[in-house]
Amino acid sequence: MKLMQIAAGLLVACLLLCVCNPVLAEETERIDSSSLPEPQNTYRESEAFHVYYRQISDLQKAEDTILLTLEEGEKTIEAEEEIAFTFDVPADGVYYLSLGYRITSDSPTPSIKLAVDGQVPYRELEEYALSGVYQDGEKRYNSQNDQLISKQELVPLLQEKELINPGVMTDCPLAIYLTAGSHQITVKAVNNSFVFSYLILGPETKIIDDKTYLSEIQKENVPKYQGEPMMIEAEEPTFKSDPALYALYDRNSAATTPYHPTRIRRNTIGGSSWSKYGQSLTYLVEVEEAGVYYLSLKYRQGESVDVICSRNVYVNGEIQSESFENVAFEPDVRWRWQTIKGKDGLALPLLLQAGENFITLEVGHGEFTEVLSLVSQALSNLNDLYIRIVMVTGTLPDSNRDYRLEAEIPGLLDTFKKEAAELSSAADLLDALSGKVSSASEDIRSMCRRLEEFCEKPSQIPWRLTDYRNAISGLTTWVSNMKSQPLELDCLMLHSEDAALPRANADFFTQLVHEFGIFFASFYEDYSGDTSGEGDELRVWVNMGRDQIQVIRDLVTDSFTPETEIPVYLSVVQTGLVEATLAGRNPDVALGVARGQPVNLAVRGALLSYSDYEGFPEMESRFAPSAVLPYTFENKVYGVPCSQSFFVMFYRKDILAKLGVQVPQTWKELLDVVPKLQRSHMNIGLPYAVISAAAAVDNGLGAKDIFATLLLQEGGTFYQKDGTKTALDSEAAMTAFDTWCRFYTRYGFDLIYDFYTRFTTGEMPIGITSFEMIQTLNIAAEDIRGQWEIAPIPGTKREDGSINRSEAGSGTAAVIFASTDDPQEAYTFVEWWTRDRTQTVFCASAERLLGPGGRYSTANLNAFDTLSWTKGQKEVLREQRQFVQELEEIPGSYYVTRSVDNAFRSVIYDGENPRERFEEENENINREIIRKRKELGLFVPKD
Amino acid sequence: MKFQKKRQESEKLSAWEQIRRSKQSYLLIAPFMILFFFLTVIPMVASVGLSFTSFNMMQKPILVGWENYQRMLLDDPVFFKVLKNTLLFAFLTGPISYLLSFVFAWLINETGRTLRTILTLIFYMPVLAGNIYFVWSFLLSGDEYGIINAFLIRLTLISEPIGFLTDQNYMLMALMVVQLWLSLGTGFLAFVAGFQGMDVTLAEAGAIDGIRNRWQELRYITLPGMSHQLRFSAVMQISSSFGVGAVIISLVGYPTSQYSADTLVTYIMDVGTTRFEMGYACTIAVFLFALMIATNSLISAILKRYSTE
Repeated sequence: MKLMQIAAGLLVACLLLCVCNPVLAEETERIDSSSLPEPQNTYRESEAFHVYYRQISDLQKAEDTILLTLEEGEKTIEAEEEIAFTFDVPADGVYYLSLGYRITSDSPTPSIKLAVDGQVPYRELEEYALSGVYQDGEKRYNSQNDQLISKQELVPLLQEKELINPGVMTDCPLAIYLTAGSHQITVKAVNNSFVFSYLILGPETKIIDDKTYLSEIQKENVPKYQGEPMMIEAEEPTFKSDPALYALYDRNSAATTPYHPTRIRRNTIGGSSWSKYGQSLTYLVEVEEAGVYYLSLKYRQGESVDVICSRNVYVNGEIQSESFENVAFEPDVRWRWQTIKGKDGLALPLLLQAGENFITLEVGHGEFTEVLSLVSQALSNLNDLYIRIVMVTGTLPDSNRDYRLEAEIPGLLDTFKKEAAELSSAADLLDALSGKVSSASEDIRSMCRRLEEFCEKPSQIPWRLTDYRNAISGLTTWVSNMKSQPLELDCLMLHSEDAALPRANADFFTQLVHEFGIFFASFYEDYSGDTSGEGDELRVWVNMGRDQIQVIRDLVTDSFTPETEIPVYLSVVQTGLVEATLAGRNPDVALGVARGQPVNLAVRGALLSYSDYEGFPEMESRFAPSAVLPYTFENKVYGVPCSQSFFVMFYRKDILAKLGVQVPQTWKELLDVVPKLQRSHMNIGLPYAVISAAAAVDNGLGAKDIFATLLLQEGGTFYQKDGTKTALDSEAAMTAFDTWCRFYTRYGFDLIYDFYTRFTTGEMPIGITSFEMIQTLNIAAEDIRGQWEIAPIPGTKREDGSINRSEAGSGTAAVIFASTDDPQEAYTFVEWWTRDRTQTVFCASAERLLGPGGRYSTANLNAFDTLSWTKGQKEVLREQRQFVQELEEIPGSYYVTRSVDNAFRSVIYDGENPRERFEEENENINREIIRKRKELGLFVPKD
Repeated sequence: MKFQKKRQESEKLSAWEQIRRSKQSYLLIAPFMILFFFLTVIPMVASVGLSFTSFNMMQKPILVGWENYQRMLLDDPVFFKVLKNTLLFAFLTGPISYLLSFVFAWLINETGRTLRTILTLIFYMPVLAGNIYFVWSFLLSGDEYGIINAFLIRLTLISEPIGFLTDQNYMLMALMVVQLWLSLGTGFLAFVAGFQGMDVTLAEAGAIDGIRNRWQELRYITLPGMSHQLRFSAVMQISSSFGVGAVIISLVGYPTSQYSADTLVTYIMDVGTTRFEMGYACTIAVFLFALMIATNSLISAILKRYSTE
């Protein structure tokens, strides 16, 4: 009924609005134009190498080679330490960079910062990540005969590498232009130490063309290999550049080698983890005689069906001929053989020497670097314009109003025209390179058409704004997809010119037998992972993914069991601790237990208290001061933190600079910023999660919204000391609640929004959310790389002028069950698990294995510091962490989440009086706490 | 159960003889009955027992007599709020969706064979696709980019996004719409089948006997002929309306703001799994069970009178 009323009311309002519209438009029109600063369209791209390179590409190429070495030969450069070279350049020229180095410690990944004459020439040299050399440990199997991931060992080998452009926007490696005369280069180790050996500044490496290569082979009369084909298993590389390149398995095909019908055999390598420019696999091949050998690869690439992947083939560190560079692999979901061919379409042989040869396969930059750089530069400009249009019209413009955008934003239509031309040439180039009209080039063209239509009818821009935004983000995704070139390999084959290769896929009948085999095996094979052999192991349940468990299992077998002689049985269990306890089948120890569970289980007598163990104070000191508070009940600690996360503030550097806004330090400053942002139709994002009791139990009060944070900054708490009553009737709590509601009722903050999207489009240049968003932005938000930063959350000024940035946190815990047979063993395990060393290794290994998305927010302070945050981020995180004050969990605290939320929603949706509603709900909470305490037989105060 | 009673009443041998005589039938229902007994009957009986206890799922249940029932009926304002929502679902969306199912099935029946198959598939799709109601969270999202909100804002009907799934004033209504969309399920299929199975000669005979229009045909021939489908559908529709739960949790949260869209099912979950008060949860479950039985027999009585005239 209510909806009907409102709809009717809205209809009337709408009619009125339509009538008044022209008047409104007149009035609001001239607000913005003067306050808008000049456009800085090329802000982002200007610092990139491909822009720098365009300026220097026509200049004189260098002909000399300059070798920079240290007197003492090799030297370990510690993190943040730098070395400087002063040298003479004989002639002006463009010099390419190669570095000789060794990696001895890879967590965090060491990077270098390279400055020429005190200045970093472009942003790629600001933090250039160095890759190590890795090899597989021994093959290993679990008790069910499944092959496990081998251990990835770092080999401190000396390697010489050209510095390449990780952005894949140029088809040449990184280069600098130097004039003749004296220059200084400094190399600084960032994040971690590495061993410096030498630095080479030299001319471009020339690769000879196929003709010369073949004629030279003919001239020297190199014998052709005539023997049987030699197979090399691709999943057993001698060296690899990345520990994430571990062997995978394919059980769907009967033709992958090695083959096992039912158990896991690791028989392939690569796929999505082998997709980044520069990642390489190296194979040691021994041949009896020197000669020419043909190389064929058995691959499949079903992950990015639009992308033609490329690989560079090196023999003993050298690309022998032009066709070994950027060898193209067409996408195919089935296995397929590809022999490396020359430009003439005929197979092109490799020249191997007698004895050992190293064949390296490296992800190449592909054919599309120029298209990508054209498109991404255009996108960057178009995105800037989007923000500027939004500043005038808002994100959902009134379609009946003429905003006169062309007058409001000088140069708008010219930029549209220019970018349309750029994009159109990029689309043509893309078609020419791929030899067909692809869907991507059509997308680019449709963007061109849209821009041209915008130029013809600028009045259309506002109501087509959402489409425009979606098209930009679509193309942005396409660009980052194109840079990723996954390729999965089963094996390599060295063979004679006329050798017949085996079938890539099994024939119909073999495949049929294979499928039937798998089907029938599913009735009797156990696929559950490791089974426990004996009964006296320590049983540990871990609430994490399968891959993390593998890492923990490695740690246990490598260090815990040898050290303590306690066998451990780990299993993946996500939920159901209560049910398991009820059935008497609970484990001895559980890791990764949700925030509210420890106290819930403890009050019902299911857990052992850590406080009863000797040496617990030492264990407690590994975490932030209040970190065990949520797991404490009646002064006894029942859980120790595994992970811990908290809010930080994210902001867009570029947009705040445009608006002339400083990063707000206090809530007052934040509110001062609001009008400036809102005048440009932007907003600030505060965290708010839709209430869910399950999630509230999982994450605790602190992660749900900003209320807990405000309360702590006001100096309030949730509960009174003995936990029998809330402390929400205090003045501090009232003020905090009132402030919280006012953000939404008075300042018009958005309650529901997608932070990632709005932050990347720029509509929400400031937002508070968990620091885990850093990784999401690092991985996915390619288009705003370097444009955002984090800061501590706003605080409240104390009387002495310092700022109180207190906030509540969230996280998971490790608990010991009361029913365990051996409490001491269980404690020993948890003590080991929370050690600095264990946590550091666990975090590093998990991140190595799973990529940057696998970062674990460990609660161990020292281990947290070793995660590869940038220096600025690390400082912010460290500062903010000092202010984290964990909240208690008490019996009945689930009721606080819902009651506070009920009060909040009554205020913002029904406009009720905050104080009255809050008091009312506070009484509800107190009633529930008392009831709960009575039920549990705990102390209940008289009144 | 019935069969056990019979066995006690009559002589042992003759009962055994009875079973033996129709052993094929017993054999055929055995797989279902065994599962039904262990997975439904036993838990049901157990929950009646547990409803007289205080049980936190980890320690032994303590007998408390009628205390839980007392609390439910006299001391729990939330219970009545939630009961009201449940009854709204059962007696508002239930009948509406029942009628809709019938009308759609009737309309579909008028179309040709191919079109009928396609339309049946389309209407049955929401049920087939399982948790597809999740799309409504995009349609009804309170984000200004939420589909319905963006549309309304563009039409300048509203200026601020409406929190369809967060505002307690809209939640229940939004859920009812989703529930209606979801409810063309088994009942609908039964109707389609019922219309298909109608004897055409009856309609012809009716035409001779003076049926003048389609409405009279529906009223005097089709409906009485479909009494089984009508009853089956009604039972299915009502029990599914009483059991609304998963949709609520995934769309508007759990528990919902001020319990404004919670039903008995989600309240039982809240009490049982969040607060660990299994005894009280069982009490509410027993109440829900009784309510459903009562409603079903009421409906049956009404339909019986209506359709067997």
